[in-house]
Amino acid sequence: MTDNFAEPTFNIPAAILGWLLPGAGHWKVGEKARGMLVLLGVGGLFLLGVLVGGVDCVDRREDGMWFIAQAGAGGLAFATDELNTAVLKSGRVGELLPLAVQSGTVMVSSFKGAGPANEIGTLLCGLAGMMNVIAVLDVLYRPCSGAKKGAVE
Amino acid sequence: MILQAAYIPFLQPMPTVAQWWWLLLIPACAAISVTWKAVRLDTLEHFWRETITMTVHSVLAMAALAAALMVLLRVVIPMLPMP
Repeated sequence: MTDNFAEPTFNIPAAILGWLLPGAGHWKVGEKARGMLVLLGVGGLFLLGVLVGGVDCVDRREDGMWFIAQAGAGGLAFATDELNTAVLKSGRVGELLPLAVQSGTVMVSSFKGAGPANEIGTLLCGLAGMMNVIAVLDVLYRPCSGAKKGAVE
Repeated sequence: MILQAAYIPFLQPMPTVAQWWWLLLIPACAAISVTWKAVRLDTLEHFWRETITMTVHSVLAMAALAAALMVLLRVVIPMLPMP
């Protein structure tokens, strides 16, 4: 008895590339237009989130649960988190102000967001991360564009 | 007194978002539709038409859900007998 089902091929390098930079995985397998559209969608959503909420809306130490979703956008999320640490939390931009908390006093940036803008920005960046996970899963099973033409026919 | 400096995009949260945050639904739905259709369509021949259709459907569905919730909160629940 023969089996007609083809073994699924996992395109792991393309998936890793697609996670690091949204759309790069599709670009690697020859789907350049698709890759650009994924970059436009995921990158646009992420940038909109950072524009609305500021870089503080991506913070893997203070908003760890949200960062799990945001980390789906890979390089974008980690770079924004690093930017937040290097620019805002260090006090390089804005000023560090004392904030009384239960365990004492902590220093927070005067640019730190605490209102709806920060919440919406966090949500939009999280959505971008989850959309990129879908794109990464797609490219994981996507054969190179030359091989796909034969498979479709 | 701490003076608020001029808004610096990408570093500070955008001011006045609380007044028009719901409008962000449109670009959010558009970006989600672009990504979803880029991944799901076999060919990109009718990409933009499909994307615009999905965006409009998503926004209308969310608006309908919001309207239904408003009716529930402002009409149905006040009509319920108080314990």
